Amino acid sequence: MSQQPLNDADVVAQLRQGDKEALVYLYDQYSRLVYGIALRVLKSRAAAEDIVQEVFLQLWRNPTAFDAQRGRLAPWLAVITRHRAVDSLRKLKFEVDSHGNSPFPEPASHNMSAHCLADAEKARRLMTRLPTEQRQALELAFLDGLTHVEIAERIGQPLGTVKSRIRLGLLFLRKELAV
Amino acid sequence: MTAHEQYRENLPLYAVGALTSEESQQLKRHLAECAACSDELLSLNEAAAQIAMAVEPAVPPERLRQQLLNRVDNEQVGLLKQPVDARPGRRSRARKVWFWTPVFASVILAIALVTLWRQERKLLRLNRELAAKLEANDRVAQQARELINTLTANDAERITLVAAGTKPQPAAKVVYSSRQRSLVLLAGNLNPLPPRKIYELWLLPASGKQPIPAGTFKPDAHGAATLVLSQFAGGVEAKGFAVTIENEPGSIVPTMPIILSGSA
Repeated sequence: MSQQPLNDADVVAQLRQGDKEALVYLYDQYSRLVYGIALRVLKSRAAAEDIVQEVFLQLWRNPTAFDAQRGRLAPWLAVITRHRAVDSLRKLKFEVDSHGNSPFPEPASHNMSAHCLADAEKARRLMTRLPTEQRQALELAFLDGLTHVEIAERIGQPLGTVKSRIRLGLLFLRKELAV
Repeated sequence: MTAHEQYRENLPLYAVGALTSEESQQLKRHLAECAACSDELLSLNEAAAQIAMAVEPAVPPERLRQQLLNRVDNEQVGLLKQPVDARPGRRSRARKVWFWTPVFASVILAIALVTLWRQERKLLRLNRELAAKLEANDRVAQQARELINTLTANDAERITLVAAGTKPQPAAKVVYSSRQRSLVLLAGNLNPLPPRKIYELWLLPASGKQPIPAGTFKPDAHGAATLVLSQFAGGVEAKGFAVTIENEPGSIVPTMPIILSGSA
């Protein structure tokens, strides 16, 4: 593998040829993003580590699942990670880290690749621009795996209100992404 | 609001996974039929990805990288094993095995059939030999039966021939085979017996031991009697035989006097 920064399409193309160094490269670029999301959803280091392995093994086994023409790899990995983590969260009655340590290690954004870092920064800026209640509703749904019914119970708001916050929040993100 | 509008309203909730399981299933069915909603969902999914992208990244443990690579290596070893099994030589060998299998089976079947044929022939030969022996035995048995029937028939006439001019005397002829364990007695000119009396034949052992009872008999109106015994006094060598008169049904010890006697 070249040490020069490569775009997603090139690396995934090498991955399709069974190049293990391509996987190493992608892991080094995106493992912090994947681990961070898994940790945020599952709140367990052990469970999050399992998700990281699953996500990268999935990429290794089936690199054609990612279509570079339909988007960047970082959001694709983020969504894949989120789905796997939420599935795991819903299946398992998971125990909080028994060591009593904080499940969240030190932030690692300085280790991420430039374009991934840029994507993440843009996403964070968007999220901070959301009204708090909309951001909360979106995160409870997308990162905590709750349905609108469960969110309504959790925050003590009517179902219609919760639905409206989710709807408005997501439409705002889509609108801002298109800019 | 139409059903389509209702589904479209729910698309953002679907994109972030906020619908219930039942609502999701209904919407999935609608998406399969509605291209507009499918396109709308794609753009909403991109927006939803931002929620995950905004999560603070975290450094996974260093060992996790090596663990992943180890798993990849293991999978590659597994994949390499498949072509080994699928090498042309292996396939060819496998095909050869499958080709020869029916040949081997046919040979084994042929050997089995020949063996069975030979066994059948042997059995048929034995059967024929047994049938011949049985036929011969039947002939001998028939002759024996005919002889015995002649000896024991009610109308059998026993005629003792003596010197001309001599008054007939009670007499008996005994044929005895210790090896065959059989005995035949032919008696004639016997005197009639008193009531409840019976003639008894005695075997006199060559060893000098006590006489052995050899059967009882009564003469007919002509003083004739026949006694045929088989499976008698096995293996005892006789030095002679004697006949006494005993009380019915017979005795285990001879009672004097001796009516008839003779030596072997």
